Amino acid sequence: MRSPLRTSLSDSTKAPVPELVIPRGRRPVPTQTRLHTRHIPVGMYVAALLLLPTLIVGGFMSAGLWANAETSATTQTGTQTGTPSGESDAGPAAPAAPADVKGSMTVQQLVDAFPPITAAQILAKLGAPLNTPTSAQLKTLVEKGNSIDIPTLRTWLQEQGAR
Amino acid sequence: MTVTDEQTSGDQPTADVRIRVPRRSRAWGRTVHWTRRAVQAAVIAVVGWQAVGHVTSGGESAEAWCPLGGFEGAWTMATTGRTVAHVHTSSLILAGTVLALALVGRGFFCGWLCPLGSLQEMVHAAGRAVTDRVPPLRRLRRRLNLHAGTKGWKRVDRVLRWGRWLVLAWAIIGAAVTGTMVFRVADPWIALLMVAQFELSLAFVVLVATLVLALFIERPFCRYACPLGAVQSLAGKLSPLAVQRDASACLGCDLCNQACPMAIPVNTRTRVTDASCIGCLECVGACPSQNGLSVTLALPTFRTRTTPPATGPEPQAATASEIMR
Repeated sequence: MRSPLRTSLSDSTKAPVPELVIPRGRRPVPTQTRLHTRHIPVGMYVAALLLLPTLIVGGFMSAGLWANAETSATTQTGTQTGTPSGESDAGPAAPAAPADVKGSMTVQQLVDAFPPITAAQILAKLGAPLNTPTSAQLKTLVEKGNSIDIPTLRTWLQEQGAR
Repeated sequence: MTVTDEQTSGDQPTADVRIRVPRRSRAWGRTVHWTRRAVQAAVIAVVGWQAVGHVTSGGESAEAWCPLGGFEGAWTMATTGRTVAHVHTSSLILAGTVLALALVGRGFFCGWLCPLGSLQEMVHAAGRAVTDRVPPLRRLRRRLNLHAGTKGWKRVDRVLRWGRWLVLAWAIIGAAVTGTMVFRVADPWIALLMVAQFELSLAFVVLVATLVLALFIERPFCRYACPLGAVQSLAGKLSPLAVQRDASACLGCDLCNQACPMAIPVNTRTRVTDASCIGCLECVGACPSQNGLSVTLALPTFRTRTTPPATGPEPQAATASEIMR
């Protein structure tokens, strides 16, 4: 046997009345706040708040200030500070100092940045085969080599530079 | 709603007064809900595309789209002019954007744009779908829901919510002192981005714990541990936008409380200015009364109270038949 409540729910689903009844005992006093408030249509609320970040990010992108590649320099405590980050989207900028070396940089970038050092020396230090292309990223070689990590490589580069 | 002066004076006994208020169509609530889902899906698609591109072709890192990195690197940037590792200029811009968004729209970013929050909601919805079909799990969920209403659990919940501030302090102060992103080791978002390069790390454990908890609790990381949410809670205190409840149109039906993913007792608030409000509008969409809940803009002026405050008896909840009628 169906309960009266279920019947009522079913019927009302088919033809809902456009009004609701406030339960007995409620005080029909409209809400008072200390603030002057104005109702905002929900559509406007959503559209405005989606538009705001779009405009800010779009503005920075069009101004050329948006850099999302790893172009900035790593800051390590106790290391010297260098120039601010580059803004190119093409890839990581060449390191200015050993402390700026990142895993996403290539062997060739290190060779270019620290002239006395050769690709063979770097590959040997990383424990990679000497026929490895110089376009390989350092982090890839570190993962494969299992010999040293990036901080150790930075220290080694600093020692080489000191000589 | 039309109410006579006699009724609005607040001095009259109201026990026998029956008031009719306009009903809000259910389709409207569903539209709000699915609009939010569509926006969340679009954001997840963009970030997922970035993450997959980074893994497969070495494209730009999806971390570049993380605003928290901007907050972590802000001190180092201000003092040395350089960013910390894994933080890009884009992160700083996004941090500023999220801050601006919080100043205007409170936790709108969390509710509509944050992919980690969206993921937790998806997992919770999946968990509900499964537990609805498996009787033992359904009983377990009901038991948990019963416990969630007890004073003891509410106290635990209140204490745990301080976790966000602790994590924020750890992330910001740690980054400023060490010059590295200390929170990165426990950041579930980073673990998710690097899930293809599987590595059993603390971040991965936090991610798994978050997703398991999300089966039973909505947005557990957002409630108890998200430092970005904590930043927005601070900035959101200045926001002029909030969901406002009109007590004279409120049925006391509790649907708004049940819909809130952050477990805010909406039907006890006049303006929902809670630090954990994420502006998702689920409460507004769930409210069957057209004027019960709405989004309001507070203007920078105050007014004096002209009518005495409502001091009547506690509202009685509307029955299901009353709501449906």
